[in-house]
Amino acid sequence: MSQANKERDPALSAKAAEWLVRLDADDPQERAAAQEEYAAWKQASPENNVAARRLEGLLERMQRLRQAPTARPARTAVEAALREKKRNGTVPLGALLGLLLLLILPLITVWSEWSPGYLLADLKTGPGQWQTDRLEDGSQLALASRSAVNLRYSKQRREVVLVAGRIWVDVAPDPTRPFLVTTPEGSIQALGTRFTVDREAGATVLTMLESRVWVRPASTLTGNGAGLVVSAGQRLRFTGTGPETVQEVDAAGADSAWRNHQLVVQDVPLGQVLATLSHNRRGHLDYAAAELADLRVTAVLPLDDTDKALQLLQLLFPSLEVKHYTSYWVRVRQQEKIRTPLP
Amino acid sequence: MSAANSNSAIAELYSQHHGWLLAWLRKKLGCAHHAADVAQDTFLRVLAARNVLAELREPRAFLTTTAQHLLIDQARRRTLETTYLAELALLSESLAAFPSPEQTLETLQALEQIAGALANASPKAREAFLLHYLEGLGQEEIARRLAVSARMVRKYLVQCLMLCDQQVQDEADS
Repeated sequence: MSQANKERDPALSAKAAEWLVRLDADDPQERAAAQEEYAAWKQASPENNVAARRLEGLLERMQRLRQAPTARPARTAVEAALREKKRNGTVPLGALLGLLLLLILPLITVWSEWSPGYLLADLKTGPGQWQTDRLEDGSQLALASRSAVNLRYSKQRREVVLVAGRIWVDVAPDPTRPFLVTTPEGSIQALGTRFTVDREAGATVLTMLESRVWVRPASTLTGNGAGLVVSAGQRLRFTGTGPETVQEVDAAGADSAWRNHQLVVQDVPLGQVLATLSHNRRGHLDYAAAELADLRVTAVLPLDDTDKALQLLQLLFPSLEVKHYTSYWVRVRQQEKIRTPLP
Repeated sequence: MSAANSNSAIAELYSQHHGWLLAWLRKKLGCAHHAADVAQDTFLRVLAARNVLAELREPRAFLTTTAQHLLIDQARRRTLETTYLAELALLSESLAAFPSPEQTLETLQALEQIAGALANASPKAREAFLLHYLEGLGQEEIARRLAVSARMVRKYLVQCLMLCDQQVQDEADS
């Protein structure tokens, strides 16, 4: 026979458990009656007593866990742990796809208006369109141009799936339900805060404007590292392979820029600025990034009036030629090479 | 099987199958270091489950099952820790007194025990247990929320208490 394991009696364990559950009944009379009978049962034999003590100890520990403020984190943690699915231990498909995406980045754009995800989204904006909505819990959600989200609100949680583009969120506090923004790169959980999330090709960029959130990059599902907390004034870019370094940003400035539909850039290549402007307008903006490579922009440009933005760029770079062939086809070229832009 | 016999049975299991298990884990986990750890822990678990070694007909299947359970437990523990600590961090602004490291460790150990036990319970039973013992909800209220009878709620609570008790006893024995 195997060594030393004491003979266990599940029947005793069950009996003790039944008593203890009865002692927690809603009805005070029932509780009182159970008290008496339980005390008698405990004294009836030493084995009863041992089983009873063990379970009482269990309940005491539960009682300690229930003490605020750890009760809510405790419950959330246990629920999350219980949702843990079986893992293969191999690199998950998501991370591999993320890597692949990074490798072929120059060849694809994620801003496809014709993807089914975008077309079927709950809320979406067209090119050059800005929209602000008030969600059922009082949270505010603003969408920039060519953005799309799906809303998944339930009794347990409030989830916004960012399908494409950029959003600005002001989360209404609701202690019974966490608020999350999710992308393929991971999830961002808030507790009554304000932030923006941008989807780029294969990456998600979070800018914290107020308070803090908890980011769980999808890569943490492989078991590599914890999620991280991002606070106001920080920006985090994370991809399929995990988070990059946190950067400092001017939160008030970023918030203001978003609200005013502005692009605020400092020493950014002109090609990149034109790419953003193109994304915010109907039709096609034609330019050669290579040709404009040495021109760098420091400016505040309106994103809801991209024609004006282009005019402003012409003021900054007099050699820039902006030709409107039709209202939907605009070409931006350098007339001749000049060495430095206008300060 | 006497103590001496069970020890030699493990020694034999180890010499015959450890290399194979290590290779299997390396392939599965993609990391030699992690694989070595898990292989080691798997044999430790086998050692702890003393009464199991009589006539193992499929030793490799037994080992891989044990290893898989271990990996699941590890993953669950990691999720538990990171979730708890992150939630606590989110709350820290509104907390008057942040729990000490010792308190946090004690809490995590208790939660791990609970999560390990409840993994074997039905979703409704788990919900009832957590609502009652972690949220302090009354049994009638839980019955309403889960749309079952109060008697069913008590059954759930007893089931989960027994699973927790089993877990406690398992850990005490190993």
